[in-house]
Amino acid sequence: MLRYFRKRLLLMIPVMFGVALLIFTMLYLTPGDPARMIVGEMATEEEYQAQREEMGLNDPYIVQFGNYLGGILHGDFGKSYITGQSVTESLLSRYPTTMLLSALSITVAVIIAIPLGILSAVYQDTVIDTLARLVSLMGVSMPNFWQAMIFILIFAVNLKILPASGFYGPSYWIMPAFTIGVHTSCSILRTTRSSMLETIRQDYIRTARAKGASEKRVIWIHALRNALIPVLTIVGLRFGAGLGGAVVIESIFSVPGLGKLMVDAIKQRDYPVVQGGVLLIAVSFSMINLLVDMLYAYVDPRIRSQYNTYKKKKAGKEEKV
Amino acid sequence: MKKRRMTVLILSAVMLLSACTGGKKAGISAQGNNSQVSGKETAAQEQVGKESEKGSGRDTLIVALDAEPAKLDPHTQNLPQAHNIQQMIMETLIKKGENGDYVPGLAESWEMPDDTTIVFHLRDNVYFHNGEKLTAEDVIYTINRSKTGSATKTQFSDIDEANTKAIDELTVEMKLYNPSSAVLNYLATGRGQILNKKAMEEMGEDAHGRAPIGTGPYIFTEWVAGDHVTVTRNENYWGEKPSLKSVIYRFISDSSIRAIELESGGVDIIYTVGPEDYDRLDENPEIVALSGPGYTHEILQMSMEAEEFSDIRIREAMNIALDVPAIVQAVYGDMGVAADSVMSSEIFGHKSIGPIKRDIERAKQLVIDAGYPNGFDCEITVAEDRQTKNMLEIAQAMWKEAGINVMITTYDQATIRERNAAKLTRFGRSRFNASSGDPDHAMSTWAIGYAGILNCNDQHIQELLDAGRAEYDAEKRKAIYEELQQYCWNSYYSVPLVFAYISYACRDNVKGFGFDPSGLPDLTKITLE
Repeated sequence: MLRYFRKRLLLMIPVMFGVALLIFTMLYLTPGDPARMIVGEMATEEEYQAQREEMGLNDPYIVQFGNYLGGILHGDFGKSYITGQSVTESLLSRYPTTMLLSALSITVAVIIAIPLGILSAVYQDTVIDTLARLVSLMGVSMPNFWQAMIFILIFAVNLKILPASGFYGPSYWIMPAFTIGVHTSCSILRTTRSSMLETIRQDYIRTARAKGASEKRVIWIHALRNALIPVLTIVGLRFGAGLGGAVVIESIFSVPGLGKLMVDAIKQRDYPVVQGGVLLIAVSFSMINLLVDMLYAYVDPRIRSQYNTYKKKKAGKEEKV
Repeated sequence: MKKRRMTVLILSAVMLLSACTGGKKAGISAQGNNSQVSGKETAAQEQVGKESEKGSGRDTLIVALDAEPAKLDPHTQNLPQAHNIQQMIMETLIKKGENGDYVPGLAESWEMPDDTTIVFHLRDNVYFHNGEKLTAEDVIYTINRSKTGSATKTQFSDIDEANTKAIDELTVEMKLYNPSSAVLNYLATGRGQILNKKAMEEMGEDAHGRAPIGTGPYIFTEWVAGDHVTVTRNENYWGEKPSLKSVIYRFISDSSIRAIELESGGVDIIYTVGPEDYDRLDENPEIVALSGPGYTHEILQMSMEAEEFSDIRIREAMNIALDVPAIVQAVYGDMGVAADSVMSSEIFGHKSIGPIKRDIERAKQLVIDAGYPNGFDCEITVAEDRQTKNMLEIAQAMWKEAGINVMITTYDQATIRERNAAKLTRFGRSRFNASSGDPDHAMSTWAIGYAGILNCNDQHIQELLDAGRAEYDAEKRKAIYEELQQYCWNSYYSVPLVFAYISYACRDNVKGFGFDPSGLPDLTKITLE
């Protein structure tokens, strides 16, 4: 298992190189000049060229990319063109907020979706199932910025029990976490339901029942564990997506997160911040995927045995050598 | 089985906890050491939350701004949000009084021995927030820096920095290349804020820009990126100390959320009220809404390098095909008026000329006379902005009636700037806030090609601008700017659209908050009841 973990970590190096190359090239080709953003359109050609020279934008593409890569390898993501702040510090100041919001949202989503998904599958085609599917359809169909505004109107304006914006403590976390969580829960609910439906029709479930296992044990132990793999996948993906994709919610609730930082940086052509942010999100996404893969092994013994087979094969090869 | 279940639980908990604990965040100390990660942001954020939740008995004012400035630097930042915070921390040599006259600031007096010399006598009891005494050396350093700053070099171009010198520790003799009535005005705005030479050199420009040192009534305390800036009362301030202990500037980009935060008591003052929220706030007995004309004008600018617009008949047709008051009423309602000149009605020397009356038949005839019997197509390129887009969509239909087919293309601001600089924009939009309130500021954009769009190279405009700058007599100066406005209006170089109103709203327990047309109200006199 550890060997597999190490291998996956090593594999992240070429992935990160690819991401760095891709984002650097995309920004290089994007219209809109960061030097022009700084000096303004009224600046003389000399001032503009001096700014480009200072920022290294007159260097050939390959030299610029080499310098950027060299900086990354030394742990230096550069300085923001706009604020002059260290990119590493800017990103790290936003990252915990984004991680917290993502974690809270996914927790809300899981708490809502998994029990509802199980109930919906177990009581298929009953009122519970119809209601759950209806709620899920509505949740997916409603844009989350609209949900956010409705939550604000109800809880901040009318009931006055929650603050409308900011991210200063638990009472401030509730609305953004629920807005994203409710939206996310719908897709997890649908996945849980379909995965459970497929699982509870398997022969081994019938066998368990025939052996006299209680219905609770059959559902929670025999069925759920086997149905969890696709659910874990989608939970991991949605958790990862939340790191950079909660821009709208961050804007509405004035959450100082990574997504808002990135969008502002893109608008201002603040390339170092965009590049650093994309790399940070890519690393986080890869780590979350790796954690999800490891969770597969703990949830499903068949997958764990594959890791062991891999280990044995590897050991066998080494013996032959 | 139990062991496995525990492992899964522990792994999940680690994932969640690692996210929840958050680690340390970058906080910027008042000393300006932006390289350290202080980890005090969480406490700072909780403090903002507590202040928001408090009811009465508060000594902290919470203000919601619509955008976060990149830096607090008087010489490189144009955003009013930056100037709003800066004016609490840094001060100018002279200030503008309530009647528009100049009153002492850091200079207790000044005199002009001749048209190109201003002698400032500094106060003897002023100290920067780092403990350094204000001296002539700081003023000279600031003047020299302002001459190269991207936001100030045009305004201070008349200052002869090479011959500007310190007479003694508290006396500065400022020399001008030529007589300039505008310089005093610029020195009284945020662009003239005095920096501490030692702090700038020790901290560096970037660090100082995120944790500035000034002489003002408030001391910079913290900047939590993406969230807020806090300033705290300067207990050693040389002048009248403000009553509020601290002011927190929160950055809330969504106008509806700013309004809701005000209604729910989360903030005390909001700037830039959305037109859709204004009436609701105005009707709320707990809220005072303020709006009025500011120093901003918005115009559509034609490029004289475009073949069709180089013909004055086409430019006139572009103007008279529109019913500007109707467009402005439809989009702005009571939050703006149709432009009757090429600079705001609130600026000294404004002359009311228009708006132009719509005459669609004449517009059609002018297009035909100019050699376009079947009309012509053109493209207007503008930055993404809801109100501009709404106005242009109505204008598009009106132009079409005159045979002018205008295609509206929107780009992001970075692309617009690049296109303007490369002189690719043939027809564009300019919204300009002459925050100093001086006609030289409002009209000087004509001389430098109007954001790279106009490119008319009209020497008469430059001559009138130079004459206006050099004139110290108020009446004569006013006459020059009136002539300049009339000339620009008659040339049809632009389609003047709107003077959008500036708006604020505050809770009714905020006393001493007044309307300011520059968008930079003074918060130092405010009290909370």
